[in-house]
Amino acid sequence: MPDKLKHPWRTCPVGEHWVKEHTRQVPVSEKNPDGVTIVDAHCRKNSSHHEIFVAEELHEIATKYFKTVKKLPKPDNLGNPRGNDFDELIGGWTQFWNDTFNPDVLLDPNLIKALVASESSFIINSKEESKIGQARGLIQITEQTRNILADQKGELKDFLITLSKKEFFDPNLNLAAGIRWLFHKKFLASHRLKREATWLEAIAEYKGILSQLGKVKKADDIMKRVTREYERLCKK
Amino acid sequence: MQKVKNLFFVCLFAYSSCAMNSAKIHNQSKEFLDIEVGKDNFHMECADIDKEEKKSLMVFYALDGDTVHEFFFRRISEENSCKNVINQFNKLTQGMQKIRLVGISPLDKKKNNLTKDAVPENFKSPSYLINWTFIRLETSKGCEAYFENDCDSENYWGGLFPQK
Repeated sequence: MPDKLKHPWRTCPVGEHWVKEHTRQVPVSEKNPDGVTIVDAHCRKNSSHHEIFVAEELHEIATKYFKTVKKLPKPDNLGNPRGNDFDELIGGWTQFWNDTFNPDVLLDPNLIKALVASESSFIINSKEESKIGQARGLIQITEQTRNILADQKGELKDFLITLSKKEFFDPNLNLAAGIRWLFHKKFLASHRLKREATWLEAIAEYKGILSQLGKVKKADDIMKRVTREYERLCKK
Repeated sequence: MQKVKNLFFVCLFAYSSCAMNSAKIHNQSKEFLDIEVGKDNFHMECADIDKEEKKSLMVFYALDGDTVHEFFFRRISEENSCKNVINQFNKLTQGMQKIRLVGISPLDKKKNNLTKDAVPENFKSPSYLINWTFIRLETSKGCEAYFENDCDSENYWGGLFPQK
Protein backbone atom coordinates (compact mmCIF):
# COMPACT_ATOMS: atom_id res chain seq x y z
CA MET A 1 0.00 0.00 0.00
CA PRO A 2 1.48 3.39 -0.96
CA ASP A 3 2.32 6.02 1.65
CA LYS A 4 -0.55 8.34 2.20
CA LEU A 5 0.85 11.51 0.74
CA LYS A 6 -1.52 14.06 -0.68
CA HIS A 7 -1.48 13.95 -4.44
CA PRO A 8 -0.79 17.50 -5.65
CA TRP A 9 -3.93 17.41 -7.80
CA ARG A 10 -6.24 16.59 -4.90
CA THR A 11 -8.36 19.29 -3.36
CA CYS A 12 -8.64 17.88 0.15
CA PRO A 13 -5.95 16.79 2.61
CA VAL A 14 -5.35 13.10 3.29
CA GLY A 15 -8.23 11.65 5.32
CA GLU A 16 -10.81 14.09 3.98
CA HIS A 17 -13.14 14.11 1.01
CA TRP A 18 -14.82 16.81 -1.03
CA VAL A 19 -18.41 17.77 -0.31
CA LYS A 20 -20.09 19.90 -2.95
CA GLU A 21 -22.17 22.98 -2.23
CA HIS A 22 -25.57 21.90 -0.95
CA THR A 23 -28.64 23.13 0.85
CA ARG A 24 -29.51 22.40 4.47
CA GLN A 25 -32.76 22.74 6.39
CA VAL A 26 -32.44 25.18 9.31
CA PRO A 27 -34.93 26.78 11.72
CA VAL A 28 -36.79 29.65 10.11
CA SER A 29 -35.22 32.95 11.10
CA GLU A 30 -34.77 36.47 9.83
CA LYS A 31 -31.58 35.36 8.11
CA ASN A 32 -33.17 32.21 6.68
CA PRO A 33 -36.86 32.98 6.15
CA ASP A 34 -37.28 29.87 3.96
CA GLY A 35 -35.73 27.55 6.52
CA VAL A 36 -33.01 26.68 4.04
CA THR A 37 -29.36 27.67 3.99
CA ILE A 38 -26.63 27.05 1.44
CA VAL A 39 -23.57 25.22 2.70
CA ASP A 40 -20.44 26.05 0.69
CA ALA A 41 -18.36 23.27 -0.79
CA HIS A 42 -15.78 22.04 1.69
CA CYS A 43 -13.53 19.15 2.71
CA ARG A 44 -15.00 16.78 5.28
CA LYS A 45 -13.10 14.28 7.43
CA ASN A 46 -13.69 10.67 6.44
CA SER A 47 -15.29 8.63 9.18
CA SER A 48 -13.27 5.62 8.00
CA HIS A 49 -9.54 5.73 7.32
CA HIS A 50 -10.10 5.44 3.59
CA GLU A 51 -9.39 8.00 0.94
CA ILE A 52 -12.71 8.58 -0.78
CA PHE A 53 -13.30 10.21 -4.15
CA VAL A 54 -16.59 11.71 -5.25
CA ALA A 55 -17.68 13.02 -8.64
CA GLU A 56 -17.04 16.70 -7.92
CA GLU A 57 -13.42 16.15 -6.95
CA LEU A 58 -12.79 13.87 -9.93
CA HIS A 59 -14.22 16.52 -12.26
CA GLU A 60 -12.15 19.23 -10.62
CA ILE A 61 -8.94 17.23 -10.99
CA ALA A 62 -9.61 16.60 -14.69
CA THR A 63 -10.55 20.19 -15.45
CA LYS A 64 -7.62 21.76 -13.61
CA TYR A 65 -4.75 19.42 -14.39
CA PHE A 66 -5.26 17.19 -17.41
CA LYS A 67 -4.22 19.83 -19.93
CA THR A 68 -0.70 19.53 -18.53
CA VAL A 69 -0.45 15.72 -18.60
CA LYS A 70 2.85 14.59 -20.07
CA LYS A 71 2.06 11.18 -21.49
CA LEU A 72 -1.05 10.88 -23.61
CA PRO A 73 -1.97 7.82 -25.66
CA LYS A 74 -1.05 7.85 -29.32
CA PRO A 75 -3.56 9.88 -31.39
CA ASP A 76 -4.76 6.93 -33.42
CA ASN A 77 -8.50 6.29 -33.38
CA LEU A 78 -8.04 2.53 -33.95
CA GLY A 79 -10.70 2.68 -36.62
CA ASN A 80 -13.37 4.11 -34.33
CA PRO A 81 -15.08 7.41 -35.12
CA ARG A 82 -14.63 8.72 -31.54
CA GLY A 83 -11.36 6.91 -30.91
CA ASN A 84 -9.31 10.02 -30.08
CA ASP A 85 -11.93 11.93 -28.10
CA PHE A 86 -10.87 10.70 -24.67
CA ASP A 87 -7.06 10.76 -24.90
CA GLU A 88 -6.68 13.54 -22.36
CA LEU A 89 -8.85 11.73 -19.80
CA ILE A 90 -7.04 8.45 -20.43
CA GLY A 91 -3.64 10.12 -20.04
CA GLY A 92 -4.73 12.11 -17.00
CA TRP A 93 -6.22 9.27 -14.99
CA THR A 94 -3.41 6.90 -15.90
CA GLN A 95 -0.91 9.43 -14.56
CA PHE A 96 -2.99 10.11 -11.45
CA TRP A 97 -3.29 6.46 -10.45
CA ASN A 98 0.34 5.75 -11.39
CA ASP A 99 1.36 8.59 -9.04
CA THR A 100 -0.97 7.30 -6.34
CA PHE A 101 -0.03 3.61 -6.41
CA ASN A 102 3.52 4.01 -7.73
CA PRO A 103 3.77 0.54 -9.34
CA ASP A 104 7.14 -0.95 -10.33
CA VAL A 105 6.06 -0.91 -13.97
CA LEU A 106 3.97 2.14 -14.78
CA LEU A 107 0.64 1.63 -16.52
CA ASP A 108 0.84 2.82 -20.14
CA PRO A 109 -2.05 5.04 -21.31
CA ASN A 110 -1.87 3.25 -24.68
CA LEU A 111 -2.91 0.06 -22.93
CA ILE A 112 -5.95 1.82 -21.47
CA LYS A 113 -6.84 3.09 -24.92
CA ALA A 114 -6.60 -0.46 -26.30
CA LEU A 115 -8.75 -1.69 -23.40
CA VAL A 116 -11.42 0.97 -24.04
CA ALA A 117 -11.44 0.05 -27.75
CA SER A 118 -12.14 -3.57 -26.85
CA GLU A 119 -14.72 -2.78 -24.18
CA SER A 120 -16.82 -0.11 -25.87
CA SER A 121 -15.21 1.07 -29.14
CA PHE A 122 -15.35 4.50 -27.45
CA ILE A 123 -19.15 4.47 -27.49
CA ILE A 124 -20.82 6.11 -24.52
CA ASN A 125 -23.94 4.04 -24.10
CA SER A 126 -26.27 6.31 -22.26
CA LYS A 127 -29.21 4.16 -21.18
CA GLU A 128 -29.10 3.12 -17.57
CA GLU A 129 -30.37 -0.40 -18.06
CA SER A 130 -29.38 -2.26 -21.19
CA LYS A 131 -31.10 -5.58 -21.82
CA ILE A 132 -27.98 -7.16 -23.23
CA GLY A 133 -24.79 -5.52 -22.00
CA GLN A 134 -24.56 -5.42 -18.24
CA ALA A 135 -21.71 -2.98 -17.89
CA ARG A 136 -21.59 0.77 -18.23
CA GLY A 137 -19.67 3.41 -20.08
CA LEU A 138 -16.41 3.65 -21.96
CA ILE A 139 -14.49 1.13 -19.89
CA GLN A 140 -17.56 -1.01 -19.13
CA ILE A 141 -17.87 -1.10 -15.36
CA THR A 142 -20.41 -3.47 -13.89
CA GLU A 143 -22.84 -2.68 -11.09
CA GLN A 144 -21.00 -5.17 -8.88
CA THR A 145 -17.75 -3.27 -9.44
CA ARG A 146 -19.47 0.05 -8.74
CA ASN A 147 -20.54 -1.29 -5.36
CA ILE A 148 -17.10 -2.69 -4.53
CA LEU A 149 -15.41 0.60 -5.44
CA ALA A 150 -17.57 2.40 -2.87
CA ASP A 151 -17.65 -0.25 -0.14
CA GLN A 152 -15.73 0.87 2.96
CA LYS A 153 -15.87 -2.66 4.37
CA GLY A 154 -15.24 -4.46 1.08
CA GLU A 155 -12.25 -5.78 -0.82
CA LEU A 156 -10.61 -2.43 -1.60
CA LYS A 157 -8.27 -1.38 1.17
CA ASP A 158 -8.17 2.27 0.17
CA PHE A 159 -8.85 4.88 -2.51
CA LEU A 160 -12.56 4.28 -2.80
CA ILE A 161 -14.77 5.92 -5.39
CA THR A 162 -18.40 6.71 -4.63
CA LEU A 163 -20.46 7.36 -7.73
CA SER A 164 -24.12 6.99 -8.64
CA LYS A 165 -25.32 4.72 -11.45
CA LYS A 166 -25.90 7.77 -13.63
CA GLU A 167 -22.48 9.24 -12.86
CA PHE A 168 -20.82 6.06 -14.13
CA PHE A 169 -21.82 6.96 -17.69
CA ASP A 170 -19.77 10.15 -17.56
CA PRO A 171 -16.57 9.42 -19.54
CA ASN A 172 -14.35 11.23 -17.03
CA LEU A 173 -15.77 9.45 -13.99
CA ASN A 174 -15.98 6.13 -15.81
CA LEU A 175 -12.30 6.24 -16.74
CA ALA A 176 -11.23 7.45 -13.29
CA ALA A 177 -13.04 4.49 -11.71
CA GLY A 178 -12.13 1.94 -14.38
CA ILE A 179 -8.40 2.66 -14.23
CA ARG A 180 -8.45 2.57 -10.45
CA TRP A 181 -10.24 -0.80 -10.74
CA LEU A 182 -7.55 -2.07 -13.11
CA PHE A 183 -4.92 -1.38 -10.45
CA HIS A 184 -6.94 -3.55 -8.10
CA LYS A 185 -7.20 -6.25 -10.77
CA LYS A 186 -3.41 -6.20 -11.10
CA PHE A 187 -3.18 -6.80 -7.37
CA LEU A 188 -5.65 -9.72 -7.64
CA ALA A 189 -3.91 -11.16 -10.71
CA SER A 190 -0.55 -11.07 -8.90
CA HIS A 191 -2.13 -12.90 -5.99
CA ARG A 192 -3.61 -15.50 -8.35
CA LEU A 193 -0.34 -15.99 -10.26
CA LYS A 194 1.80 -15.87 -7.10
CA ARG A 195 4.11 -13.37 -8.82
CA GLU A 196 3.84 -9.79 -10.03
CA ALA A 197 1.30 -9.78 -12.85
CA THR A 198 1.97 -7.83 -16.03
CA TRP A 199 -0.48 -5.14 -17.07
CA LEU A 200 -1.78 -7.39 -19.85
CA GLU A 201 -2.48 -10.07 -17.26
CA ALA A 202 -4.26 -7.43 -15.17
CA ILE A 203 -6.45 -6.72 -18.19
CA ALA A 204 -7.18 -10.43 -18.59
CA GLU A 205 -8.26 -10.44 -14.93
CA TYR A 206 -10.38 -7.33 -15.59
CA LYS A 207 -12.10 -9.28 -18.36
CA GLY A 208 -12.47 -12.36 -16.14
CA ILE A 209 -10.39 -14.67 -18.32
CA LEU A 210 -6.92 -14.73 -16.73
CA SER A 211 -7.15 -18.33 -15.53
CA GLN A 212 -8.29 -19.51 -18.97
CA LEU A 213 -5.50 -17.97 -21.06
CA GLY A 214 -3.62 -20.63 -23.01
CA LYS A 215 -6.37 -23.16 -22.24
CA VAL A 216 -9.49 -21.80 -23.90
CA LYS A 217 -9.01 -20.45 -27.42
CA LYS A 218 -11.92 -18.04 -27.15
CA ALA A 219 -10.30 -16.46 -24.08
CA ASP A 220 -7.08 -16.08 -26.09
CA ASP A 221 -9.02 -14.46 -28.92
CA ILE A 222 -10.54 -11.92 -26.51
CA MET A 223 -7.03 -10.90 -25.43
CA LYS A 224 -5.66 -10.93 -28.99
CA ARG A 225 -7.84 -7.96 -29.84
CA VAL A 226 -6.39 -5.93 -26.94
CA THR A 227 -2.78 -6.87 -27.67
CA ARG A 228 -3.18 -6.13 -31.36
CA GLU A 229 -4.50 -2.62 -30.70
CA TYR A 230 -1.89 -2.02 -28.00
CA GLU A 231 0.94 -3.02 -30.32
CA ARG A 232 -0.45 -0.75 -32.99
CA LEU A 233 -0.49 2.19 -30.55
CA CYS A 234 3.05 1.44 -29.41
CA LYS A 235 4.43 1.44 -32.95
CA LYS A 236 6.19 4.66 -33.81
CA MET B 1 -37.81 -30.79 -75.41
CA GLN B 2 -37.37 -33.22 -72.51
CA LYS B 3 -33.61 -32.51 -72.54
CA VAL B 4 -34.23 -28.78 -72.26
CA LYS B 5 -36.66 -29.40 -69.41
CA ASN B 6 -34.13 -31.56 -67.57
CA LEU B 7 -31.43 -28.96 -68.09
CA PHE B 8 -33.76 -26.29 -66.69
CA PHE B 9 -34.38 -28.32 -63.51
CA VAL B 10 -30.67 -29.07 -63.10
CA CYS B 11 -29.91 -25.36 -63.41
CA LEU B 12 -32.71 -24.46 -61.01
CA PHE B 13 -31.45 -27.00 -58.45
CA ALA B 14 -27.88 -25.79 -58.80
CA TYR B 15 -28.97 -22.17 -58.44
CA SER B 16 -31.12 -22.80 -55.38
CA SER B 17 -28.42 -24.91 -53.69
CA CYS B 18 -25.91 -22.21 -54.31
CA ALA B 19 -28.31 -19.53 -53.11
CA MET B 20 -28.94 -21.55 -49.90
CA ASN B 21 -25.22 -21.64 -49.06
CA SER B 22 -24.21 -18.14 -50.01
CA ALA B 23 -24.44 -15.19 -47.72
CA LYS B 24 -25.56 -11.74 -48.65
CA ILE B 25 -23.09 -9.04 -47.72
CA HIS B 26 -24.98 -5.81 -47.09
CA ASN B 27 -21.92 -3.78 -46.24
CA GLN B 28 -18.27 -4.47 -45.69
CA SER B 29 -15.08 -2.58 -45.03
CA LYS B 30 -11.79 -3.69 -43.57
CA GLU B 31 -13.18 -3.11 -40.08
CA PHE B 32 -16.88 -3.77 -40.55
CA LEU B 33 -19.18 -6.55 -41.73
CA ASP B 34 -22.95 -6.58 -42.21
CA ILE B 35 -23.89 -10.07 -43.40
CA GLU B 36 -27.16 -11.97 -43.91
CA VAL B 37 -27.34 -15.76 -43.93
CA GLY B 38 -30.01 -18.44 -44.14
CA LYS B 39 -31.08 -20.14 -40.90
CA ASP B 40 -29.03 -23.28 -41.67
CA ASN B 41 -25.92 -21.17 -41.97
CA PHE B 42 -26.47 -19.51 -38.62
CA HIS B 43 -25.70 -20.75 -35.15
CA MET B 44 -25.45 -19.20 -31.70
CA GLU B 45 -24.32 -20.51 -28.35
CA CYS B 46 -23.21 -19.70 -24.85
CA ALA B 47 -19.66 -21.00 -25.24
CA ASP B 48 -17.99 -22.36 -22.11
CA ILE B 49 -15.12 -20.15 -21.04
CA ASP B 50 -14.66 -21.30 -17.48
CA LYS B 51 -16.66 -24.39 -16.48
CA GLU B 52 -15.52 -24.25 -12.86
CA GLU B 53 -16.56 -20.64 -12.41
CA LYS B 54 -19.61 -21.13 -14.68
CA LYS B 55 -18.63 -18.37 -17.08
CA SER B 56 -19.77 -18.24 -20.70
CA LEU B 57 -19.37 -16.11 -23.77
CA MET B 58 -22.22 -15.33 -26.14
CA VAL B 59 -21.08 -16.25 -29.66
CA PHE B 60 -22.83 -16.12 -33.05
CA TYR B 61 -21.66 -17.90 -36.19
CA ALA B 62 -22.48 -17.15 -39.83
CA LEU B 63 -21.35 -19.39 -42.66
CA ASP B 64 -20.21 -17.78 -45.90
CA GLY B 65 -18.77 -20.26 -48.40
CA ASP B 66 -15.41 -21.48 -47.11
CA THR B 67 -15.36 -18.98 -44.23
CA VAL B 68 -17.08 -18.99 -40.85
CA HIS B 69 -17.67 -15.54 -39.37
CA GLU B 70 -17.64 -15.72 -35.59
CA PHE B 71 -19.09 -12.81 -33.57
CA PHE B 72 -18.11 -12.44 -29.90
CA PHE B 73 -19.79 -10.45 -27.17
CA ARG B 74 -17.31 -8.03 -25.60
CA ARG B 75 -17.58 -9.59 -22.15
CA ILE B 76 -17.93 -13.03 -20.67
CA SER B 77 -20.85 -13.49 -18.28
CA GLU B 78 -22.37 -15.85 -15.75
CA GLU B 79 -23.82 -18.95 -17.44
CA ASN B 80 -27.34 -18.05 -16.32
CA SER B 81 -27.04 -14.53 -17.58
CA CYS B 82 -25.83 -15.82 -20.95
CA LYS B 83 -28.81 -18.18 -21.09
CA ASN B 84 -31.16 -15.24 -20.55
CA VAL B 85 -29.47 -13.38 -23.36
CA ILE B 86 -29.63 -16.33 -25.75
CA ASN B 87 -33.35 -16.64 -24.99
CA GLN B 88 -33.86 -13.09 -26.16
CA PHE B 89 -32.04 -13.82 -29.38
CA ASN B 90 -34.00 -17.06 -29.79
CA LYS B 91 -37.19 -15.05 -29.81
CA LEU B 92 -35.81 -13.01 -32.69
CA THR B 93 -34.50 -15.90 -34.75
CA GLN B 94 -37.15 -18.60 -34.20
CA GLY B 95 -38.96 -19.42 -37.43
CA MET B 96 -36.91 -16.91 -39.39
CA GLN B 97 -35.38 -17.91 -42.73
CA LYS B 98 -32.76 -15.13 -42.75
CA ILE B 99 -30.58 -13.74 -39.99
CA ARG B 100 -28.47 -10.63 -40.34
CA LEU B 101 -25.39 -9.93 -38.21
CA VAL B 102 -23.13 -6.91 -37.86
CA GLY B 103 -19.61 -7.06 -36.48
CA ILE B 104 -16.54 -4.84 -36.27
CA SER B 105 -12.83 -5.04 -35.54
CA PRO B 106 -11.97 -8.43 -37.07
CA LEU B 107 -9.02 -10.53 -36.06
CA ASP B 108 -6.89 -11.92 -38.88
CA LYS B 109 -8.48 -14.62 -41.02
CA LYS B 110 -7.23 -17.95 -39.75
CA LYS B 111 -7.67 -21.68 -40.22
CA ASN B 112 -11.07 -22.80 -38.99
CA ASN B 113 -10.54 -24.10 -35.46
CA LEU B 114 -14.12 -25.16 -34.75
CA THR B 115 -13.54 -28.77 -35.81
CA LYS B 116 -13.75 -30.09 -32.25
CA ASP B 117 -16.30 -27.60 -30.97
CA ALA B 118 -19.94 -28.28 -30.21
CA VAL B 119 -21.18 -26.48 -33.33
CA PRO B 120 -23.30 -27.97 -36.14
CA GLU B 121 -21.32 -30.10 -38.62
CA ASN B 122 -21.56 -27.61 -41.48
CA PHE B 123 -19.55 -25.09 -39.41
CA LYS B 124 -16.65 -27.52 -39.03
CA SER B 125 -15.84 -28.09 -42.70
CA PRO B 126 -15.08 -24.56 -44.00
CA SER B 127 -11.38 -23.77 -44.26
CA TYR B 128 -11.27 -20.35 -42.63
CA LEU B 129 -12.57 -18.43 -39.65
CA ILE B 130 -12.76 -14.70 -38.98
CA ASN B 131 -13.52 -13.39 -35.51
CA TRP B 132 -15.54 -10.16 -35.12
CA THR B 133 -16.81 -8.08 -32.22
CA PHE B 134 -20.60 -8.44 -32.16
CA ILE B 135 -22.62 -5.30 -32.80
CA ARG B 136 -26.15 -6.47 -33.55
CA LEU B 137 -28.46 -9.22 -34.81
CA GLU B 138 -31.49 -8.47 -36.95
CA THR B 139 -34.36 -10.46 -38.42
CA SER B 140 -37.68 -9.37 -39.88
CA LYS B 141 -39.01 -9.68 -36.30
CA GLY B 142 -36.67 -7.00 -34.95
CA CYS B 143 -33.17 -6.16 -33.84
CA GLU B 144 -31.03 -6.60 -30.71
CA ALA B 145 -27.70 -4.83 -30.27
CA TYR B 146 -25.00 -5.09 -27.63
CA PHE B 147 -25.20 -1.33 -27.14
CA GLU B 148 -28.55 0.41 -27.21
CA ASN B 149 -28.21 2.70 -30.22
CA ASP B 150 -26.53 0.20 -32.52
CA CYS B 151 -29.80 -1.01 -34.04
CA ASP B 152 -30.12 2.31 -35.83
CA SER B 153 -29.15 1.11 -39.28
CA GLU B 154 -28.59 4.55 -40.73
CA ASN B 155 -26.51 5.33 -37.69
CA TYR B 156 -24.06 2.42 -37.81
CA TRP B 157 -21.32 4.46 -36.22
CA GLY B 158 -22.59 7.99 -36.29
CA GLY B 159 -22.77 7.70 -40.06
CA LEU B 160 -19.16 6.53 -40.28
CA PHE B 161 -17.85 3.07 -40.90
CA PRO B 162 -14.88 2.10 -38.82
CA GLN B 163 -11.79 2.49 -40.98
CA LYS B 164 -8.20 1.66 -40.22
